[in-house]
Amino acid sequence: MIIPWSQIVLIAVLLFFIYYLLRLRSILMDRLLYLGFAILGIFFVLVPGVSTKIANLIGIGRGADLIFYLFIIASLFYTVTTRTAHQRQQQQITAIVRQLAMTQPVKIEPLCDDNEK
Amino acid sequence: MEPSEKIWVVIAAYNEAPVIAQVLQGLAPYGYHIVVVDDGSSDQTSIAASEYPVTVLRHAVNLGQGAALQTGMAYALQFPQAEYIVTFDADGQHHPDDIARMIAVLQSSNAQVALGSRFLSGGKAENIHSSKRWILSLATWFTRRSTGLKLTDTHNGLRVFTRTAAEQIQITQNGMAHASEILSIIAKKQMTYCEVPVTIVYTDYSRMKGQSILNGVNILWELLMEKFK
Repeated sequence: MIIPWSQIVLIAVLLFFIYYLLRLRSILMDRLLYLGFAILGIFFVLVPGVSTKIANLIGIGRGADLIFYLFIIASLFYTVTTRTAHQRQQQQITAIVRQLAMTQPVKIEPLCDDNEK
Repeated sequence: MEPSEKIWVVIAAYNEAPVIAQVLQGLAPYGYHIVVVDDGSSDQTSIAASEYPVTVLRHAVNLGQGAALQTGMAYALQFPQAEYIVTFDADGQHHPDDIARMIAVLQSSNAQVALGSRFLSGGKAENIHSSKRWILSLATWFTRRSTGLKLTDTHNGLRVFTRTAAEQIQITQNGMAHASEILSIIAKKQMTYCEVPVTIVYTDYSRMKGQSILNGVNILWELLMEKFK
């Protein structure tokens, strides 16, 4: 039986990323990952043919295909990190708008003496 | 019966200038404290509400009903004499006299939260469209499974919290997913709750502003994205 290494590796990488996004995230790790992708990209450009060698190792036909898959993963990663940064901003906006609403009311209900005790 | 000065009614309003006056008028006889949170309306909602002896807060931008309710609840809780916090819709779907009934049930059952239900026997859904009833059944089923709460109506905006319950509620979902969020907080904190039959009136106005099926997609999406914070 031929072991579909390429599929196993790709699915494993994807699963790791999902796990990372759900549990392991930190700003430092995010930055390290971005740096990692950048270095990897530079490496593939500087050493021609190495992508094909690695691809063949795990059962993918062309180096270009490998780079493409990695690019997809990097894209998803970027999308999720951007989205959560956006959510953080939304929380900040909410906090500001709320504080403004509470400290600068349009109207405060008039105090009625017969409502006291 | 609790004196009305211990009861705070929070009304989240977005572009409800046509009906907010009627809603406030309907509540006037009861003497409750009322906080209207204008969620960044582009119409005269704030001005219309200011005609009445109520507190009017305004969000500078539209954040969503969940955010507006949280603002109103946080405001009400600043007053130590606030014993009961009520969430009440701004579009005229709710009946003011249901508030007193819900508080009475809270007191006799010693529960912390009273949730209005239009589907409980004694409750009413006047002029409800059959498709709306069907969508609500689906939403109710889904919410029951995800929260574990045995409710007949999971998307009813008429709720009454005791102070202790309200203090534990922090609504982080700005949009329509806040309804599910409130229920999951109730479930997680194991608050004692009860359902009280209430009347929901569907008018042409409220039908026009009502949620569509597609909004269910939005709610599910928002709840899902919660996981990826």
